[in-house]
Amino acid sequence: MYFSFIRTLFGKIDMKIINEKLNYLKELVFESDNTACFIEREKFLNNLDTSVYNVESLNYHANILAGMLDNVSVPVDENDIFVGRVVEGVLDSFEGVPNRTLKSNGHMSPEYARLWQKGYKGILADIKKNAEQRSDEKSMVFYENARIVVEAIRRYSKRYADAARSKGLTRAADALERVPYEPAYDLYSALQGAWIVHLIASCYVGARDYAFGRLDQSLYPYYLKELANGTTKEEIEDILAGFFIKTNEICGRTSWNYKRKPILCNSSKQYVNIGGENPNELSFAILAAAKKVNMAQPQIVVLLDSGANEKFTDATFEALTVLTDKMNVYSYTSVKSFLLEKGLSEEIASDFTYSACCTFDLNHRNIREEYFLPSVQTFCNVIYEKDFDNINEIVEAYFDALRENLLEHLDLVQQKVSFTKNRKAFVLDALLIGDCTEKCRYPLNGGLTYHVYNVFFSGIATVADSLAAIDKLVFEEKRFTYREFIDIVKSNYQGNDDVLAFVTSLPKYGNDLSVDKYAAMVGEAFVSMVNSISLPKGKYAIPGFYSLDKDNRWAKDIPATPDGRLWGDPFSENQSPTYGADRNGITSLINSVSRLPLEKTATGGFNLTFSGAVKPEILKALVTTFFEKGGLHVGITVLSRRELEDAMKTPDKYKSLTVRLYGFSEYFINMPEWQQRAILNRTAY
Amino acid sequence: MGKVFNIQKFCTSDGPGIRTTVFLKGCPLRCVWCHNPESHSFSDELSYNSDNCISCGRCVMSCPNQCHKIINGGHVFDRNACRSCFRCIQPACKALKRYGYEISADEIIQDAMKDEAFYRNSGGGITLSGGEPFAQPEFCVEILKKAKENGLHTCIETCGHISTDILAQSLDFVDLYLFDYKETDPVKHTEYTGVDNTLILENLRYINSVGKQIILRCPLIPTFNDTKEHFEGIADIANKYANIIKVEIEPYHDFGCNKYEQLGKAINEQIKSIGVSEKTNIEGVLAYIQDKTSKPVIIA
Ligand code: SF4
Ligand code: SF4
Ligand code: SF4
Repeated sequence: MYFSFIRTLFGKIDMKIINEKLNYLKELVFESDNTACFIEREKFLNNLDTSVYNVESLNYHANILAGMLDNVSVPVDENDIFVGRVVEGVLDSFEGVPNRTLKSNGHMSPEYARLWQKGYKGILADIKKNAEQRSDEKSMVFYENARIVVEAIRRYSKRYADAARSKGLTRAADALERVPYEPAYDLYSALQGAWIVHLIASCYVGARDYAFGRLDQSLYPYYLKELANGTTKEEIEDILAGFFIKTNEICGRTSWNYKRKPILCNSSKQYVNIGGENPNELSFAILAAAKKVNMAQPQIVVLLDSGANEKFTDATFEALTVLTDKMNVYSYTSVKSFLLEKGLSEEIASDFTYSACCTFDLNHRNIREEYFLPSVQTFCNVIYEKDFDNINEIVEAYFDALRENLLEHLDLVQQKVSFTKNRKAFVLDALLIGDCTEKCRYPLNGGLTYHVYNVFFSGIATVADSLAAIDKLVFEEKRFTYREFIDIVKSNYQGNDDVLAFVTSLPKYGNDLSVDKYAAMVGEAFVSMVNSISLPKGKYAIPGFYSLDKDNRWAKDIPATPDGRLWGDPFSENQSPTYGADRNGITSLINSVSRLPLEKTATGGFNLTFSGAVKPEILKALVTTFFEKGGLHVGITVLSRRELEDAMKTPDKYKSLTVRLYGFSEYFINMPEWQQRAILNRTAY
Repeated sequence: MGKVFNIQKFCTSDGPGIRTTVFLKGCPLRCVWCHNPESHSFSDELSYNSDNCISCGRCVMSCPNQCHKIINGGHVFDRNACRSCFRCIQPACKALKRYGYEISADEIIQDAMKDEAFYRNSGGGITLSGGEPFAQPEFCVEILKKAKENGLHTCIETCGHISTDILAQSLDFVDLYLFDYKETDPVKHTEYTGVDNTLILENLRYINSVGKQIILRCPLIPTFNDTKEHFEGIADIANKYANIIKVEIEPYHDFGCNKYEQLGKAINEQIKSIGVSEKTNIEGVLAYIQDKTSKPVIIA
């Protein structure tokens, strides 16, 4: 074994060697080419032999994946702590790259605990039994697909075992002789098996945002076993660090919407959830390993229970000061009670996870869809078109329009599913998601008991501040009639600089002032609208305040708003005030945001920006107070203006500089300039 | 009612935890390095920052004394005729700003209580600063008293140049005194601050004698008080008074320099030439003082 090899050489594990390996592997990530694709995949899919791969075949997609896995090489770097890499390369033409013949939707948390316990072998046996019992055609096709895929993964792993052995990586080789086909036998083999599956799902099938679920819970039995076998805690942290670094190797460093790396898992975020009601020693080890790696991936999500042991809470905030934007903290307490209120059982309501875009999953039980309501556009349509006598009337008309839009969208979602499309997307995923293997059905085709639709409201501050301006100028002070004021706004404040100056200077959401009541009002209307929508059993529409990049991307088509925002200017991000509008200190900001009915949401994010290092105990006080007041999520960025400006001028010096964007961490130098400027314009505390 | 020029939330260096700091207007001293020149006068003041002026001309018509003019498309401000009526401050103008407003102790407490949960979770509270908060004695004690009635932890930052009677009235309502210690040598003290330090030292002795906790706050001003004698003086005082729980060294920063100009005030030429305190070996100073006292000495 690799570790015992070092141990025999030096008497004990040589930390220096581990750290050197980690540094070397880190450097490899930074040196990788962001314009390169997974070249073997692309070549294989672009030259599909139609006499072998018949599109009419019910096993079409499974066969393609199997053929591809048999075909691609199995590169190993002699410094690899875990093996499993993809060959990258640049093509003459990138037209049609990445190829989508095979692809998944990703955005899910596969049930690795099941894989570790049963191995694919056991899972396949279950499917066989279930399919034979059902004995309908769909079930038999499902089984046949599963068999093809599982056997292909088994062959691929075996080839990897040989490659690892030839480079002297005995531990990896031993593991891959068995996993993921057979059950995991220790911590290392569990993670090595999971990595092979993650790699295939993200890079060969292809999709973003596969998450690792509640790793401190699922992996805990193997952790205990490891300790019982005499592995030290430090050695375990090193194994975890070796695993974490892998998550940086596959997704590139570009932003998902800018200079995209031509791969389907481009800029995928890799989430590891820990905490909840029972943080354990492994939760601490995961924090320690993440600090050791300290790269953009994985994103550590801490589910913070209000009754969590103090030591874990302290460790969380200590880690947050180091990991900053690479970490998310959610209020476990708030989300759990929200889910119980939705009628979910105690068991399921306790077992949720967070991953990309601040969206939640019932861990491995569901897949999710996201929908961004066109909230600011609709607001403009409503206030521009009709005349109103008071704020309540506006809010009512506004949410009638949004409800209609949402219902239309949900209807579309329900209709778009087909068995064939599903088989393509989930030929691999179905083995570890929901009840697919029991029901012998693909996730969107009856394999899931639960389905989550995240419904997002973006631009809450823009809408709220606009209502405040209308209320003051039109209804309270009667400086203008409704139509006069709206016409001024509509004209982009042309020739009305005084009005523009006046509305701009009005108190804004984010300063703990009475004007926050408008945000509270819009927030309440939004959550009750979403929560009142009835969907078939097992399907949930979950409200959240979240913008992703819509605040900028949609902005150019959105006309001026009554808060003084001009045509094309960005609107407000996530749960935050308009950039720069919060001027009354971070506690005031938190008080304002707490006015939103966050306890009636389960998705969405809130980013805090600091201009310098913050003490862990201060962060702890801020976040626990926010959660006490109903807050849902906090992510932080620590940025120094000088550093960011310098990074814009000399990017090469700042390869590893990350900042928090929307719900995740991005490499600053790989962001478009407008986004870099937007980051610089944030109010930093 | 009293006069303040700022209430700042989320202060983390004016006492323990997360705090709200209330800056009272008016100060009996004129420290040459003071970075809060807007705190000196007991009256409201107009500040004009030409960097933020966009020469929109909206202030011109509203001034009864023609202090604002647009000449060749650029805004020109003549402070001489200004009578501080503040009519010229326009919505969304980022150049003109008024320092100072009347507020009651109740309003201050009401505002501060909005952050009560943050204080509770961080061991924080409310801090009175200035200016010299004790220079508005009744107001200052009233705020402290009401803060205590509301269960808040209280700190007061004082230069110490105040009547001992007033200090005595505050004892029941202050948990921690942040006491400035600016210069050991009495002659230099007068030169730098305008007053000698006899009363200050007497008040420090007094607070210690009645058993109240004190943090000694020492501004470190290059070319002024960065002398061995003063560092030794700091250590001596810290050793002498049992209730000094900590010494905080406050390195000089030049954030205040522009404010002098914006308020139409003269700045000390020697201060202007300091720039940033990187020139002093702060770590060295820290080690020097730490060596001479067992009390914790930190950089604030
Ligand atoms: S001081 Fe203000 S109002 Fe006057 S010209 Fe300058 S920006 Fe305009
Ligand atoms: S404060 Fe009054 S007198 Fe002074 S410049 Fe403004 S408007 Fe004129
Ligand atoms: S005592 Fe404080 S506020 Fe007063 S002049 Fe000195 S430094 Fe400024």
